[in-house]
Amino acid sequence: MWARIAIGAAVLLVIVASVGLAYYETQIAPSLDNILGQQAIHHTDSQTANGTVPTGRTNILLLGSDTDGKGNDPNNGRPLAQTVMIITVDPQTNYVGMLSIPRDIQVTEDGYVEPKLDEVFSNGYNGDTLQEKVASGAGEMEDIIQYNFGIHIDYYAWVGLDGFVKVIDTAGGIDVDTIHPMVDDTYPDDVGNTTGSIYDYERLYIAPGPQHLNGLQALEYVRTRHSDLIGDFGRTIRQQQMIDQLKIKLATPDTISKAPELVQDLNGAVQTDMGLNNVISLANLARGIDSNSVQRLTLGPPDYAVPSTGDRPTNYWPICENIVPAIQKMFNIDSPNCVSQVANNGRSIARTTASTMPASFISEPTHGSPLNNGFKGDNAINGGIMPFYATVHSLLDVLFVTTFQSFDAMQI
Amino acid sequence: MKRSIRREWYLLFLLAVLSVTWQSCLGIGDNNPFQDKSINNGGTIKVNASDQAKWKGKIYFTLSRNLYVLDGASQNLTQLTNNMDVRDPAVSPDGKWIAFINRFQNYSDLDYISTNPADKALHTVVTGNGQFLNGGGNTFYWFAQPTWSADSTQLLFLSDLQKDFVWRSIGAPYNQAPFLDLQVFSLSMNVSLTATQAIDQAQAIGYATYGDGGDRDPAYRPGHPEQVMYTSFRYDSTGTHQVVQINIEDTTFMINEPYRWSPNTTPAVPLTLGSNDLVNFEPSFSPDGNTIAYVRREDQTHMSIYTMPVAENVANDPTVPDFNPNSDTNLANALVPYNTQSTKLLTDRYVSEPVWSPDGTELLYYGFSNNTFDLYLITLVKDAKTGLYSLKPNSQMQLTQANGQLDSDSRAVWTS
Repeated sequence: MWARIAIGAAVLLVIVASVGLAYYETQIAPSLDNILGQQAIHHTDSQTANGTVPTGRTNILLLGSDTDGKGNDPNNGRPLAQTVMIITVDPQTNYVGMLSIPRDIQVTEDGYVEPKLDEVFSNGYNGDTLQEKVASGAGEMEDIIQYNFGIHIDYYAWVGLDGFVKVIDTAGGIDVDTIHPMVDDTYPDDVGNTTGSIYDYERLYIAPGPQHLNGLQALEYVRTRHSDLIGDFGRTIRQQQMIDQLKIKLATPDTISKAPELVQDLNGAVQTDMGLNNVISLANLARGIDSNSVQRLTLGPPDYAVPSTGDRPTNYWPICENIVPAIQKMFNIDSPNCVSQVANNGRSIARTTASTMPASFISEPTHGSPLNNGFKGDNAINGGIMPFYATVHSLLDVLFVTTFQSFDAMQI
Repeated sequence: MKRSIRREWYLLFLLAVLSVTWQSCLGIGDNNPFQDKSINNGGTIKVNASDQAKWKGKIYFTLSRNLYVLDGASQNLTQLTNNMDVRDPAVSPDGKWIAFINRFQNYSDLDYISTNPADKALHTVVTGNGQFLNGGGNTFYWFAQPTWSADSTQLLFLSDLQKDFVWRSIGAPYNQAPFLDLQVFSLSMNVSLTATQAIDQAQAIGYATYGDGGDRDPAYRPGHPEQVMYTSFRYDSTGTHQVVQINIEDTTFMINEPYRWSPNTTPAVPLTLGSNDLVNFEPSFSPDGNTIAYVRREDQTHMSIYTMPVAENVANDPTVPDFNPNSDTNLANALVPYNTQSTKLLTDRYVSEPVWSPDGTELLYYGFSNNTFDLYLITLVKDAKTGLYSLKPNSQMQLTQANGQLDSDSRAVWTS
């Protein structure tokens, strides 16, 4: 009798495991395949890995796009990259730097006149599938950043902001004590827009005090820029508050049980060329670092950019004499670069062919670098089922750090 | 024999399972005091119907932005609005009207309806509807937190009606429009205005300080029809720390001497300390107008409900000629109750919007448990000698299990 019971239990276990595996392979794995390992598509002729001399760093480009709006839908539109950040990591010394490049910085891009940096992603956004489009936009960004600033990019991660909304909604919303009344007459109406109004603003009024926020409301709370006398500093305070609440929310059993749904939310809203081990390694590294020790730099006015006096007055020109030493220090680059827009008067420089383009203009990942000990290029899901929630949590960290533009969000 | 014994054990096991199941279905041995109440979306919330949670009167609040009233005697939950985004209900003292905010994208209306369920007419006192303008700007307006005067004819409320007014006399940043932070105004209930009309007709009562969202929590003081209370949000002179204070004001200053005052110089008198990052807000007058219940942020993870007496003769003193509400002496006098007689009632992660019962013996507030907001009741004990309030031990009672549907950013109201 006991043998029969044991056999029955074993059969039941096999059935349950098979169902779980089938569910993973049909519902989860395709989403992860769409998110991970999507190599950037470059628009130079050369695809060889003759990149720059390894600098002892790994540089990860984080791109954030406002999506689900007019012309910004990732499937049918051409989103901009309003958030451009580069995280540079030295795993051996635990040095971490975070460079933010404002979206309105003017760059030189072949075939375009006085483009803003956020337009570069849109300019390269081409392909038959969403994954191809994002990879193509990311490749263009990597090439232009390398050309204009001399920063070699090893990996990218792209985030669509509607992914943040979906994730928060799947997690059941979030509860915060909003720090003061929020009023904003010019909040960008670019996520969840249903009216199709020709005006791209909406008005916000958020009451102070404890309340429940859904995904869209949470995004409004952390993004509004005009509700504070102290501007971006106030926004930073709110973002930190949201990060603290997300830590609590993601640790609840109810949220953990929704991990499969969260992955599906991330499908189409997060994409990277990193493999699963890369993402988890990065998240683990981030959680072990004191965020106060992260070196932060924003290439904005007044020290690093000035308003353009060219044909596009909303652009900002880089102040190269300040940018070059700053980049050299943060990225440990022997030969940093900065393409002056003043000197060019906004005229682009024709892109050279692969045979003549200097090697430094080819932004290929340096997988041969000794720094890749912690950043393996394989997509580990091909080798089996990884600890699932650790995977989801790490992908969420990527989403949050780009949405919040804060390294603290990597520690949720 | 063996087979017979196995069968008997099996039957006993089945019987045990069935008995437990039937007990659950029949509620036998069920001690859950919460009863299901249907709501508009086909769902339910639960209301505490136990003897310990008995209370008198009616409580108005919003669930998923629809207005409901809960009757203490019958325990009936009645929906009053549908397909609207309703916030901040307020019942007139004569019991006839319910004012509330009807919110839309980009603006809101100040509306009221009858408490008589047979009268379903919606009255709009003022609409904030407008449009975006070519070249920037807009003609939309917000309204928030209406509250009634004692004679049930005037409404005190928050609005950005004066956002395009330029204060040339006091310099930056007030000499530039728009000024988005909401301020306190009053209007007669017997009007129906566009926002443009209301800009001229609404009486400015309380100015706001630039850059921190403006004012909140307006209320008339019971027994003192000329006095109002509201919370002000502002940054300190360095622009790095918030200062959030509860204020009292004699409205006759603003009504009779409008040119004497500005956002830089107001007749409002703070009743709570103005220290950096100290937040005292969401005050509520006791029915007799002599005590305030309010909320204080203790730190990033704790909030408390306090009570304190209202400082007397600090909004105005008719015995003092040329009374100056901003004199050092008066400002110091106004803080005495806060400094010496504030009583902490309870502390928790999130507590907000305390509301007094009509007889002044209980407080209703929003609490937070199991990752959701709900209504809670506490019973107060009043010291006969000092008039100070304290919490009756073990009186905290959860009134609802709203399963995430309670709108905790919309203050409730309790009537008799």
